[in-house]
Amino acid sequence: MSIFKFVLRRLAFGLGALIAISAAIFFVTQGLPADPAKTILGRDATPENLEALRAILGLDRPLLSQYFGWLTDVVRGDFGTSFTTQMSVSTYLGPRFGNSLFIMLIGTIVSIPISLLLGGYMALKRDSLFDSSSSFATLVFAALPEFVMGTGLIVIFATTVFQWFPAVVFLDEGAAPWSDPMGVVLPITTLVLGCIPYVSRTMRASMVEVLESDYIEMARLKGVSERNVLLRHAFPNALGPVFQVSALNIAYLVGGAVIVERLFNYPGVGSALTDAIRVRDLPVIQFLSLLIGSVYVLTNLIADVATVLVTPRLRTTLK
Amino acid sequence: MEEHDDFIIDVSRRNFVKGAGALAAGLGLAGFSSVGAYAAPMAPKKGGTLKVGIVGGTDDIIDAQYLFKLADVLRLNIGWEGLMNFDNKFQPSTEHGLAESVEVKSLSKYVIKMKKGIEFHNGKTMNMNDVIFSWQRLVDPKLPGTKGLGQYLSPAGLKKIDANTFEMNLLQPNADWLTSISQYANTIVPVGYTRNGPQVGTGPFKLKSFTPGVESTHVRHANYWDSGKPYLDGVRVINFSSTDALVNALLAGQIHAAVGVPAALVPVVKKNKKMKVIETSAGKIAPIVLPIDEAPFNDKRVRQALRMIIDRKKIIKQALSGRGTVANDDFSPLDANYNANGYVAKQDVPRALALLKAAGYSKSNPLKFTLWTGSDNFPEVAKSFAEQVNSLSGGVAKVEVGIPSDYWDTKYMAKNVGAYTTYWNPKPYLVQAGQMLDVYDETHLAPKGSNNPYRKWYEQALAERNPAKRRALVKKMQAYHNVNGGYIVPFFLNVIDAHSTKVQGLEQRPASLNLDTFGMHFKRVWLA
Repeated sequence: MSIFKFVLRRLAFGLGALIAISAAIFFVTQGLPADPAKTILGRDATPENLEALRAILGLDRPLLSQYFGWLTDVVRGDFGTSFTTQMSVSTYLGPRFGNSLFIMLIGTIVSIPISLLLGGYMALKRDSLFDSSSSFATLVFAALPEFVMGTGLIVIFATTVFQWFPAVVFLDEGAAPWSDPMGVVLPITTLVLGCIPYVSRTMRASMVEVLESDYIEMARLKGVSERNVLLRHAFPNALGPVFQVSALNIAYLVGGAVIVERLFNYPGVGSALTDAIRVRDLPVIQFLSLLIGSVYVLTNLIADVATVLVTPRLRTTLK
Repeated sequence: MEEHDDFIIDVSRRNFVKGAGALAAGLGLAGFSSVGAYAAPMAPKKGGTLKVGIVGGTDDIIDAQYLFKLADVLRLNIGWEGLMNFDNKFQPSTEHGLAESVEVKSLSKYVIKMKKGIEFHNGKTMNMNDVIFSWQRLVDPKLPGTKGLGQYLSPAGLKKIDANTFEMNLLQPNADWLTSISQYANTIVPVGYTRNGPQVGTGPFKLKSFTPGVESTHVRHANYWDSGKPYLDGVRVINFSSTDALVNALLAGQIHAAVGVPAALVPVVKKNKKMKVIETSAGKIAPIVLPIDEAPFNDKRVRQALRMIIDRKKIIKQALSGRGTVANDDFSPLDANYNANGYVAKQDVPRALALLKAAGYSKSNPLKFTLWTGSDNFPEVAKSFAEQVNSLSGGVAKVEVGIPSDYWDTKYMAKNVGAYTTYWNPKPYLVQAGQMLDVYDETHLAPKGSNNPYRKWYEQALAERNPAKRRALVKKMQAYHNVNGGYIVPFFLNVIDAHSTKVQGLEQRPASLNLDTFGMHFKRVWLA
């Protein structure tokens, strides 16, 4: 099987997963004990206008018909209208999506190299003081929920010990997140601290395994320089499992952003999701759930392909 | 929409109104407690924008006369004013209102003279048509949320007398009417006002921008009628998704004031020398409701047993971090008639168990029911109550707590679901009784048309102008309610806010609304 066929196959699996996710999201959210018509009309609701709105929204149609109608609209790029803001979902979430993407992207860019270097160095210095103390530290950070880490950062750097950074993020209407660079430091740091333990520990374990492998020993016996052993043979082969964990971490960032955004009052899709759940704004909940699901599928797809590309053994298998 | 539906109650009457002060003089301030002392105010300084934080979301609204949530209450108070307000002693007063004077012709006829030269935010001078329109909108039966006022006043009862005066002819006598019209949501708007139209009021700040779930900005009303005020150039209301973020922003100096600080975070705020906490106990309650005509609560012994078995101080400690005061199933602690019987709901576990036994309950046949509550309706209270009943009854009573996401839609005031929780902002005894009887009949104590003595005394008291006779009637009502009622009121909740020391003009005084009645439309507030 060529790499091209492999990618196509993975894409087909991804698409199937997305359809299954979309069905799960739709039926679960539509099954919530909420009347969308009542949500929209609020206290202005009368039996007559509730009935009329239910008909407009198609809520009087069978659930399956509603699902296919919704799915068709989604494929066309029409994600519906937010019940509470009365804006199209894409208009409402567009700027928020950009805001979330910004902190997630920076979080990824910062956390992945740090994790790889840290994990790799821990493996090289296996059983040293550095290794054991780093292992302990990453274990502690891995065990801490984001809101605890975030709160700790706020207490230390924003409210109680020092007042170096803002505790929450205020973005003016339409302002980009980089317009408040100080404001995004703590949310991004929280995300980074949440990611580093998993990736670095996986990198360490993978690197240790590779360094103990026969082909590394062979390379050393052949007199290949240690630098080349590490960079040309050990490091690429150790990256395979790391890609998988990194993919999960990126997907985690989307979910983790929900907590981080709430904690820092950051105007992203995470805070929009919590707000939408509170007010039962179904179009927003459905879109964001689908978005998070898509990120999971896509990042895993990319990780699978990247793993194959960087791992000589797997590349050979495909040929 | 549960919080919405519940707050509809607030729209009409759920804010504090003191008992019939204008008619019956001399109401005291029993029951008020405060925390900390405020220094003498310094000379006001002009300028600056006050940044106020509050929990809110995309379902926030701005409407001059209706509201769903606390954030809506805040914004309403910034831009709009009513005929009357409450003075520092909780007496209905025209000092901060748009009325010049109110003459009580009888308990069902009130003549109101307006202040002159009041200008709306759009430059239009307020006239009598605006005033009549505003009150027609408030009592219009076609508009939702009017049933509180609408049971006393119909649009036809409003009559213009001259360019500056009008009268209200009530459908029935109401000795508490002045306290009702003094509520903050009963505001004056220009003719033609709608929620979706221009947001124009007479308040000290006019709306500049509003993005639900994000913020609203309000700028100084240059032609505001109260000379020299407001001191601030503007107010910025910033929404927070959680109370944690709200308090963090305050402590980090990103906002000047936080509305609605959770009891558990008060010690954290108090540790900061640059912060002040305003904490008042004006009588907000979170009762457990036992519908008295539904099993198992239709047995008076069951209701009495549940009242007796609980340790109220422990509930306050567990559910409110200690920030509340014990209540004895009564309400309205600021009413001069509060607890006229001196009734104390003492914990008496053996007697409670005896009552349950007499009612036929035992370990093999326990009293079972679900106590429903909402996640925004003090669920900790329900949990603490259930925990105590279950442990202290030794298995004779088994209470489950249910916290469905659609509590306000499906459980609150629903038939035969079990017990449930509610909450009420402080108000005088008779106003609260009226709400319970005719607007939100939670306990089914004395439905309309019944011969129940509680209702009879209530109607007599409303029509009674003699304070002593009214007091006697209220005393009878309280005694009856203590024995036969369906409320368990374990405590009065504290209303807690905080602000930086830079904010001046806020004081710790009795107030049912947060932040010292929002600094009386923030016109008393300035930044040092």
